[in-house]
Amino acid sequence: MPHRSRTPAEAVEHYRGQTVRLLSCVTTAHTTVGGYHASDLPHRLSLSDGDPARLRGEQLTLDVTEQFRVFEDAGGWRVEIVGYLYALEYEDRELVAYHWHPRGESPITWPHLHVGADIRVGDRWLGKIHLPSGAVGLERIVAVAIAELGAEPLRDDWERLIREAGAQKADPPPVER
Amino acid sequence: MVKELAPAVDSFQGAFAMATRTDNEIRELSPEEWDRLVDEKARKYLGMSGAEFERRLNAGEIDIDDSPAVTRVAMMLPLHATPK
Repeated sequence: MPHRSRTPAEAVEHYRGQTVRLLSCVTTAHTTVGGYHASDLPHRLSLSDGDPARLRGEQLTLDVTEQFRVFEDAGGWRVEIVGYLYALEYEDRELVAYHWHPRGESPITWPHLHVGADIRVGDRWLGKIHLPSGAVGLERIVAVAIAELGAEPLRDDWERLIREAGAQKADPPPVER
Repeated sequence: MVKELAPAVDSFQGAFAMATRTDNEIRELSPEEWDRLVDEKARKYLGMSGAEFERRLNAGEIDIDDSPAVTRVAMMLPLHATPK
């Protein structure tokens, strides 16, 4: 169930707190956030000033930038993610990147993923193909980093935080047809 | 600059346990500071200024999915054009 707040600033504070708590499962890097007001333009949140943050354990790094807007509905103010970049790199090479950039010049407006496989499909490189993914939450990226790629969790309660982050999500965005 | 602090838990566990609190730093940037950060990243990853990168991105000369570095910097811009 999405969190509702009394003011835009309170909504952003809640959002950034939840996001940082989730990221603290795998990194101690700082998070940068701008914008606490309702705006036509989305605000942005980046891990480690937009640089890949190294995870403990394997030679993994994590890229996170979210674009969000603050808006009011019947229940109060809340934050909605309107775009994201989540990427995991291994030994400084991109393993997988989840993108959603529904605005801008790109015709690819739906959530997609890129895989860092060095495979050619005819004259195309698989890494450039936009593979449909549906909207993905940051908590799933943190989960796969720990549970499947071997990143060491930095806190005991990481499973609970991932569970809670998933439970707070609103319905996924509508699928375009 | 704000620190997000979850309620502290039993400190007795101290060095013997992993963290169960959040003390990751949160940095708040003004729009001007964001612009400077984007400029810094564009120069670092793409070898051009933030303004030039934004212009070329909006003109369609650079595709947001061109490379991991392009996406990394582009997503730090407020993507504000009309949705397609």
